[in-house]
Amino acid sequence: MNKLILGRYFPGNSFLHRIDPRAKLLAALYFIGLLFFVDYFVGFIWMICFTLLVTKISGVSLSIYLKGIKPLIWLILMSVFFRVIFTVGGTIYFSKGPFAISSYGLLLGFFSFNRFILIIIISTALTLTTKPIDLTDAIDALLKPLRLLGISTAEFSLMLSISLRFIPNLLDETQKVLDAQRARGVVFGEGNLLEQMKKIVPLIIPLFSSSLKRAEEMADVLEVRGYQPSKKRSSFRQLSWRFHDTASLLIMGVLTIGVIILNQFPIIEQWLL
Amino acid sequence: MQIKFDQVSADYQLGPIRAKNIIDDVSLQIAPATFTAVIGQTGAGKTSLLKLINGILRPTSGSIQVGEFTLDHSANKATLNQVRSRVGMVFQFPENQLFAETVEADIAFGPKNFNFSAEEVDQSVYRSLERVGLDQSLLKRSPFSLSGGQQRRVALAGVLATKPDILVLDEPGAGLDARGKQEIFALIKKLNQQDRVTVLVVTHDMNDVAIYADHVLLLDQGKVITYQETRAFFSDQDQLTEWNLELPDTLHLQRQIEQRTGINFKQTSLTRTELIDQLIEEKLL
Ligand SMILES: Nc1ncnc2c1ncn2[C@@H]1O[C@H](COP(=O)(O)OP(=O)(O)OP(=O)(O)O)[C@@H](O)[C@H]1O
Ligand SMILES: [Mg+2]
Repeated sequence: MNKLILGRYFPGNSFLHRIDPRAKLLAALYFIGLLFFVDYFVGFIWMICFTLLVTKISGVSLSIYLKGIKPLIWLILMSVFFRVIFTVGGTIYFSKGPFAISSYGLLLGFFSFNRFILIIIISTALTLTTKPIDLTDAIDALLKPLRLLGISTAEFSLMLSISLRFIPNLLDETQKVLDAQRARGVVFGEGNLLEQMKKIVPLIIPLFSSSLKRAEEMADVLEVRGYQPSKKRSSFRQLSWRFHDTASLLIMGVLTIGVIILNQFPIIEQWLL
Repeated sequence: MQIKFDQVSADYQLGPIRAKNIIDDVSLQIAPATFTAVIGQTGAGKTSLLKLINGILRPTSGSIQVGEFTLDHSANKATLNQVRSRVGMVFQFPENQLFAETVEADIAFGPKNFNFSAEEVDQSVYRSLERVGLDQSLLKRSPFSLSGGQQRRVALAGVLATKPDILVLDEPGAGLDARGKQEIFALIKKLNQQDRVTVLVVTHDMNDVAIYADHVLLLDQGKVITYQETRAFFSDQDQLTEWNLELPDTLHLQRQIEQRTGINFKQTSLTRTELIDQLIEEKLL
């Protein structure tokens, strides 16, 4: 359970840690959006360079980011695989029925692989350097415009901060139940697919049961203390926007300009196709 | 079965961070059929020590001999599973591991995993249910419909059903009322004496230590401070003061009586009966 890096916070004092969470969240979302406008190989190199720079200034070693990718790698490889075999174009190396392996397909596969990896790394960088509670505040701030439409965002934020708050507990608990069932002779990660799925049951049920119990207790406590989410309230933690926060958004501008320029140069593509 | 620690160190890997030696160069030999109380402050490494015996936590260096099996850093899955079939581990708040639809199925889970035959499974389910003092009418109930104390017993039965030679328990009395706790300890003691099961129990209550355990293992910061027989352990007042440990109630009473009357009793009394016997012997009663 300790292997899951995405969603974890590493205390620190790097430049990335000090940027306002709203700026960080906006920038991360923008970056992820921008990834889908990159057309050519050189553009991806540009984005990869930027991502490496971000991991560098986060003060956390790259190997930790890579470890964060590991649990998801099969999922990624599978979707990339489908992308590759369903895309046809350029030189065709192999084909059978609707499936084919072509140079164009491989290129697109490479692109989606890159997108997945970069999205994970950037989101990891965001959560590694932002306290979950700050992140919730940021989400709350970004959702504020919705209030004008009469949508209550406070409830959503509360839900989010409670869920984030309990992720570590859930992970700890999973570890405990895992150990307890191991002690009762379950060997996880062995046997065929069906057997492995069966082994999940003794893990999931106790976790469900304790989560439900906790949710109920939590609801009771909120009620007993007279909490009403719809009321307008002030905030204990104040976010303050400073110059370097604006600067970090400006960097996104630079990144975008780079992408627009590089989108004119299908260098590798011309050579390949 | 005998348990032998040979210069064992262990830690937890937390992502990239390594907590430094949670268990620190422990060498220790625990004789078969003994009842050891594991004590120490919170964070001393008691739970981790139990996990090592069961192969849930693996040593970073050194090795643990459990019966004929050896657990070390590179122990394979087959060995681990064999060790686990011989060592029953009752975690803290074991009722949190219940999952099956019926009490019966939950208790049978362990034995089935360890490849008991169908008859053996049935037999051991009934036997262990009886052992923990629950009625057979509960077998078809859902474990989630039981009271906390009953759930604890079902969980305990689930471990006993695998017929372990070594039983390690992490604060089995935590969160139970005095009576329930006493019953659980009495049951463990019976297993220890009748079936010659080697028992290690983590507890914070010195009364449990005095009444049930024949050996005491004191841990601090992952190191063994002392491992000795219970009576010897409680007899050395200077050491107890140094380790900042409370006295069991009976012993506390004895010490007070000794102070008031100026008579020094011959023996350290661990149970009420022993104290009364000595009071009579000293003609104080
Ligand atoms: N799963 C884990 N991951 C990381 N560190 C852990 C883990 N479990 C325990 N530790 C650390 O190991 C040390 C010893 O823990 P352990 O649970 O063995 O102590 P304990 O003596 O059982 O304490 P308690 O009386 O509170 O149960 C503690 O410092 C704890 O922080
Ligand atoms: Mg413990």
